[in-house]
Amino acid sequence: MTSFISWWTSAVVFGTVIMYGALGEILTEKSGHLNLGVPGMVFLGAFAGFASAFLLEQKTTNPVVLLLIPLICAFAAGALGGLIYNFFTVTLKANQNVTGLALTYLGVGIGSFGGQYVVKAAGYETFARASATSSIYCKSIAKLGGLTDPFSKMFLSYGFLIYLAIIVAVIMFIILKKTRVGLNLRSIGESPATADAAGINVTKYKYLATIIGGGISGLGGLTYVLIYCQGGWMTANSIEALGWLAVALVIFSTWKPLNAIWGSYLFALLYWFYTNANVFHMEFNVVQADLVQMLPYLVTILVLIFISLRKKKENQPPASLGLNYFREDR
Amino acid sequence: MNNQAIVKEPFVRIKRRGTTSFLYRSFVRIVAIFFAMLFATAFLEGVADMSFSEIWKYLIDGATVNSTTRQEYWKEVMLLLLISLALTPAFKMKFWNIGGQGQVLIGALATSIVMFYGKGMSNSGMIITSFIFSIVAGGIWAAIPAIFKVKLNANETLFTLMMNYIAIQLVAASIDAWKGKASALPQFNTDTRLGYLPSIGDNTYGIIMICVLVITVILYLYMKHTKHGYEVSVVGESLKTAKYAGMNTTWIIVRTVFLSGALCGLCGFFYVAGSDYLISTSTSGSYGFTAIIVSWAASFNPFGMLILSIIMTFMSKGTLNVVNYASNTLNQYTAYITVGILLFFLIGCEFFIQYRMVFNSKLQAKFDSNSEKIHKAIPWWFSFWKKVADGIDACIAAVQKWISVNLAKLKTALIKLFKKNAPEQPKEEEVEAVVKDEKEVGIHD
Amino acid sequence: METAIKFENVTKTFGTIVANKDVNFDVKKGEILALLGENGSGKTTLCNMLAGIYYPDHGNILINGEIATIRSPHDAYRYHIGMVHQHFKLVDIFTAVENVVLGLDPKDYKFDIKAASKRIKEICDKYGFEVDPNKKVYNMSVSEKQTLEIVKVLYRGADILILDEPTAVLTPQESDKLFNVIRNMKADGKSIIIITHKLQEVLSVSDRVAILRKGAYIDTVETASATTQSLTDMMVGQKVDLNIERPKVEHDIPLLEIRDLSIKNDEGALAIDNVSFYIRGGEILGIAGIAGCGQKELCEAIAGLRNIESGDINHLGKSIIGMKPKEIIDEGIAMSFIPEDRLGMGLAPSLSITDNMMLKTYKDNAWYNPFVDRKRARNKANRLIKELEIATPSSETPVRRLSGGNVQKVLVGREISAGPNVIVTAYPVRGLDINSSYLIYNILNEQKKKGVGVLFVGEDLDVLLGLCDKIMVLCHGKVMGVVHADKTTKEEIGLMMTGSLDLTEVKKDKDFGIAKDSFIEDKPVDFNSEEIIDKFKEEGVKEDE
Repeated sequence: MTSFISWWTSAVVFGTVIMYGALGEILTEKSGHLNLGVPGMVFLGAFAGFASAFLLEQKTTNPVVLLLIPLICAFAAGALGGLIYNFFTVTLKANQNVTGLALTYLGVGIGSFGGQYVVKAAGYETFARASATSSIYCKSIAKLGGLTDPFSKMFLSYGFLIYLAIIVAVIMFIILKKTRVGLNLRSIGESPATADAAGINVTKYKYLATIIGGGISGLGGLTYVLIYCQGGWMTANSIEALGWLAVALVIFSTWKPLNAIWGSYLFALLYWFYTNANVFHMEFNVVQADLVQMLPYLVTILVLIFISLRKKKENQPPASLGLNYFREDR
Repeated sequence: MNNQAIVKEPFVRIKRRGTTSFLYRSFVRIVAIFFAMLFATAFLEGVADMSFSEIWKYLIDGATVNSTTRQEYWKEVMLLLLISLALTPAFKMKFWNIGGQGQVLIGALATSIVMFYGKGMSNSGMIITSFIFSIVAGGIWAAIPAIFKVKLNANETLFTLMMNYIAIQLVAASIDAWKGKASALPQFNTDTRLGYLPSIGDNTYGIIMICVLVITVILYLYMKHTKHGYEVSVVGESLKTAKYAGMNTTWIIVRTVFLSGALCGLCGFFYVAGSDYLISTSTSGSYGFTAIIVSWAASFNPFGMLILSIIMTFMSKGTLNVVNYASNTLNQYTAYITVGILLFFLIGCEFFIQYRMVFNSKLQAKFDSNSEKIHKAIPWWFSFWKKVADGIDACIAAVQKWISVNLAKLKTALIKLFKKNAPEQPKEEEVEAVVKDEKEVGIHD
Repeated sequence: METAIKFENVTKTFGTIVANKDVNFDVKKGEILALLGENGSGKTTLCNMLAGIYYPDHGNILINGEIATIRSPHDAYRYHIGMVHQHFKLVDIFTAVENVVLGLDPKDYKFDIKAASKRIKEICDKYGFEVDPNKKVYNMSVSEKQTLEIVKVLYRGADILILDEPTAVLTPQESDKLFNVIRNMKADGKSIIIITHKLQEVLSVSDRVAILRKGAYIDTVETASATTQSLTDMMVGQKVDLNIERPKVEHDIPLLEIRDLSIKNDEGALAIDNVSFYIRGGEILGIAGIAGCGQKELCEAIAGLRNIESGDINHLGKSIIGMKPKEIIDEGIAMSFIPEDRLGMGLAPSLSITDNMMLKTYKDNAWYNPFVDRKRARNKANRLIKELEIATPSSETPVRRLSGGNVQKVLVGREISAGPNVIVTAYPVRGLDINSSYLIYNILNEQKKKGVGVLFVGEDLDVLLGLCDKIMVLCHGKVMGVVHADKTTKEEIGLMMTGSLDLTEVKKDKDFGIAKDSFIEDKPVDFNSEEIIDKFKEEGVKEDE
């Protein structure tokens, strides 16, 4: 049981990173834009969150500032990524796949470069830690109340970002499903010409969806740096991999925010299976562990195949996903 | 009344351009690259604490300072070009293969397996075996998503992407298995140099260069003039039309994606047998993604890809060189940023190729009627810039004229030459073809 | 009457193409104005400017006497202008009510579906529509979708209604129903613009007619004083002979015989249900039916692009079931299907005319030759360009850049140049102007005279009646009967299209669609179906009378 709990807790934190990425991407894709720049935006968010926390810690110990500023910075950095993507695909009408990949490239570049730049500029060799901010972000009900029972460990032992992700998912569900704004947004993803003819400002909606979506993805990076890495900066390839898993999760959840919640935890459980195989009384050597780490990707492929087998209209991607809209095109 | 309407007119609108000339397209791209370079230099100036001239010295040095650098530079150009070429047929078919990295890795893995286990082979035997293995492995790796795409319409973008990570894990597992207790995997066969591609003269990568350049030409012909290339472009245009024309679309898609993967596999072979003599999970780096943009920005033209690869690699190699000489705060990711800037400028400039901006009539009217006044009112640099633009226009016109005149001369010269060698034959064939056609068309029979 | 809309010197260009040039006319309050013009004369472009899809290059649009600036559909909505586009602007996966409330000012965040449904009901009752507010659009028929579009516009309180080719997809009966609704709306004081190129409709429903020709405004006339011929002459700009030629040709052996054929559509429902018919050499068999009643599936099955459920397709006594599309082409069966977007099937839009010429023949040179023979294709392209007067800068121009009529000439010309003995052609004149349409009819008649069997799937009943020898009417994939074109009426075909009249039911004991000299041997040979059809026809007409 204890080994399962440790597996579960690491998966929840990890899953939240994926969940933020996926939620942002769901919002973006609902507006008809396939943004392959998710890894880049997550990376930008991670960098901005880390850099702001790290630099602020040298100046202040005010917990409110340390809590809010990195949050805002991470969101803004992700949103900036979304804005760049949108400027190219909506205003300049560039190819969406190509722009997304370029954004991933640039985002990973800026994140890795900037992170190391900050660390080196502060006088460290390769590694530094924003530990004060991290401890604020890691404060949990279980820790504050000194609870150690399995339930509290499994569900109450996380920083607020983990719960915020679930709240964001629920709010997104309500907005998309129940409000007029959501209806308008969905109609743009399905058929921008229809939405346009109905008097909806397509460009405005697309910009807002992509920018907010980018910001949400950026929060994934913040979670990664301040909670999962406990404030330590690493130029980890795993952020990029997580970003791609987030894109996959969007399909897995069939564009429904609520499915993204459990889907992300499932992905993370699979991701960490190789170190937690003892739950099932299994032991892996190095080579086997390498192979077991394929699991989340293999499962994604299986899901991809499974979803393409089902043909329910409501589970299909937004009809105009990946196509740019130009009103005067006939 | 009239004014009222004009006041409310949108400030700027965009319209689609018709066909654009080759010169116009090249001009836009050159301008974009120029500005991207300026932008990237400005960024480097900011972070590296160097002057403009220093930066350009190091940038150029990064590709040319000595023969080793030059060889390394051209090798990188060729490998980036090879992946771009590899992805092109698939993209032309609207098959988004973003799994180039995985296919390269699998090709590299296949080569490594041969080099690791085939110790008893002859040198040439090993090279040929690993060449074939890598091509087949890369091809199959790419064909798997293609089959699922064709049969079940599974999203190929994500499928190929996930295959990247599976390939990475396979490579990681092999490395862990081969290195045993050592901390890292050593180069293969360092003592015997078995399976190493030979160098041409003192150029270690000569074979790679020749092969890739030959592939560039072949791929150009393949895409433009062969039946296969024709099938690919029809399938990319409209799957329905292709089926209607009696094409076996399943086979065409799988075959083309196999080709795409096979060329990536070949790239992996070059990495291991021609350059690194080693495999690692980061063997192809991020070329899988860069190559997509190179291929797209060159409008799928192999020679355009060659030029873009040269520029991209210049930027990344140069930036790394700047980093080496800069104060210690920079790292190798700086190159991601400069190349990223270049990528975005290339993507953005397509807008000016496909659309034109129309300013509102008020602005336009002002331009038209008060051009004198405006001329005086606008800052000096604008008129300077206008002169430059006029100059460039004049140059282009001159070049165009020169080309057309000389082309005509060349043509007549060639015709004369052929007429001497084979006086009447080609003409007869032509006549025959026309007669045949008349029979075939026969609408007014 | 007051003026609702006034166009003043409105001009719009796309690149080098002038879509509208100095258009000047007005629409009064409470009138039905028909905007008449050939395809490509700029009717839709003009109305799209009213609806905010395009912005005029020059000129003004006046609404209720004041200059209006309509930059977007949202602006149009503020001026109470509503447009029903030819290609419906509906979101497939939404319900009717969701589509209706889409894009309204989002003041009430939690939109009230119930209140909206109630208002939809009220509008329906007022004008005589039927709409189920909770039905998803992808489950709707074409006429239901159109009704929904009109309700959507009315729900927004439009005073000016634009209907773009509203009857193109309707049966004659459905069209009449629509016209009644339009008259109700007129009585309600609304202004209505109907875009159309069908003259009968213009004469029956409109008060005045405005005519456009090649983007230029010609004139506005009172409908009462106009005739079909006078309108056509104005529309085309020259005297036009409206009669479609139907040359008498000796009917030959049955070339294509179809027996008990059933085909499923993409959704898995039966699209063609137990259909038998045949085509003889030297005849044109028309197929009539409302949109989506199995025409597409039938054409695809004949071309080998779709698997059949059961039955047989015979070509000169040889079953072509299971053959590959390429083999069927080699058999001499040519199929050209013009889909709604006109470019989807049969042509590769971004490729040149030359490249499109060799679509079916690129493999015809030696198998070991890896290269395509572009020179030959280019010769063929140039020949067609000359013979069919295709307007294009060169044979290397991408097909996408040609105008609709020229695109179709390329397609039909290529199909015929292959020298087929059976031509299956669906909507070959879709979107063509009158002269181009007649050119296509002439091409088909030429083929008919040469002994080719033609299957002609059409949407305009007047054309079917004028061109075809026999007409087969389909309703939901079932044959309602085969009639001789010169012995039937539009109304009768209309009834058969909706399934109200079933000639196969009238004479149950006779086998329909089986030729007396059939190549399929196990069927009764002594059966003279030609006669039987004639007999049915006579009896059917009697019953109607």
